[in-house]
Amino acid sequence: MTKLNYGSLSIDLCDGETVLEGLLRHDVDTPYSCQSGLCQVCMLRAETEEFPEGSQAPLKPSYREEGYFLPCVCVPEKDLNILVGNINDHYHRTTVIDIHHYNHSICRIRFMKPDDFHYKPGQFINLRCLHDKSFVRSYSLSSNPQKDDFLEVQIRRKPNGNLSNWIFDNLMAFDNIEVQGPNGTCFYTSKPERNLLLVGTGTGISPLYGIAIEALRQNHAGRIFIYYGSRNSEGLYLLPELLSLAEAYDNITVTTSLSGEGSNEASVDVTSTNNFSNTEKIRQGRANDIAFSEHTQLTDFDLYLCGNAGMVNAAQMQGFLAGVPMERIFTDPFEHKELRDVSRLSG
Amino acid sequence: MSESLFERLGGEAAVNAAVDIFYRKVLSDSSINGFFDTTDMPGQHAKQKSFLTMAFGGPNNYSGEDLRTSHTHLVERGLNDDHFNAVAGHLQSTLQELGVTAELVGEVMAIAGSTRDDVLNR
Repeated sequence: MTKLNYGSLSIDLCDGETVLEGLLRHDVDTPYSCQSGLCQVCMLRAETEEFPEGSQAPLKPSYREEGYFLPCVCVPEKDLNILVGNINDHYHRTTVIDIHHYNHSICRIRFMKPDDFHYKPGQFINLRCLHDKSFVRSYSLSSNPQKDDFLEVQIRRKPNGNLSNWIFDNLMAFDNIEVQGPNGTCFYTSKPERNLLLVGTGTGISPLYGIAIEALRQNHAGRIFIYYGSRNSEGLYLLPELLSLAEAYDNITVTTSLSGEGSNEASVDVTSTNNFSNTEKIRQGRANDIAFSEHTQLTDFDLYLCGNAGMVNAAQMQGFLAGVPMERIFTDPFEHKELRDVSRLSG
Repeated sequence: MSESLFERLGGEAAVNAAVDIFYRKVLSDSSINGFFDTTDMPGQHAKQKSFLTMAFGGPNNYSGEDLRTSHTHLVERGLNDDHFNAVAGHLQSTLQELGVTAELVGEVMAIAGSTRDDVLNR
């Protein structure tokens, strides 16, 4: 039986139980979110003879060396002594610069970049509400570190979502918020001659747009295919920017689709940021299904996926079976497992 | 000193060359793909890498006990010799696709075959 020490609390872990499960079983108030080793919200620091494989893997080398690990995926074989009181060190307080609402459910927040904060487009941060530290969620960065002196994320209002509703209803310019990061491996590492396939749904399109911009900044020579999906046309907040990008660069192709029931192949009038009107043909169906029906042999492609977990899981499989090497598939799924007591309405 | 099987196959580079091919074959086989959890592809992919490393005679931490316990829930769902044979077949065809000599293929298949009783909890 493995022993877990948390401050003065001594816990006997059950067989196969993760550290997080053990802590929660003893009503320890420790933060967590995805419970899948993805978001790093639960990260703690511990002394132990040996961390089990996988419980440190996603963390930066410097964090690993200092004994940080992810309790939600840690089933220890050796006793573990958790060092309490260090988690808060990793959150930086920062100030909101502005909030822009694309529509009633999606907004863009820009806030000041903390000192010494180095990131790559496509990585994500954990945002935490000052007034209730249990309100913490992960968001992908869509700003560009070379061009922007702010950090930018897109937030979608979720039914019964703690942080998203708090942000929509309360957060204003000049307010403070806490940020930890950067985290994640979904950023541009492609060789310049590779073809890129980017599939993004909902707010997932924003980090992919950042990745595409970064690819161009690094003079990416291969083709870049962007598939942008939304349930309905109201969710296509980034369409003008994407169309401008496709127009400006020969090697970029953008395909837009709507998956919601009742939507047909349609034309949508899009007023671009340059204030000219564009009629863009919108396809009907799921972005990933359309992408992989049009690209069936992908051994020379790198695949970047951002959006809800259902799409990302399905697209990973589709991409891999079509020939994308596993190590060239980059993902950031952001509807983690349901953690709330009140379930979301479907949709 | 003669080289180990793992070294003769090409070590970790050989595993890396084989794993995507092998994993694709397994996922595309409807007689067995239901036994693979597809909600965590990177995790599953890592397990395939571990399996291939072991089958290639490489360094691994698996005991017979580990193989038993990790497959118990699949045996309960009906994992049997047909499924084991299908996976072994995909391993063989992967090696053949990569141009591995018949002698080395034989050695790898012997190691893989030796896990049958543990995997099937017999």
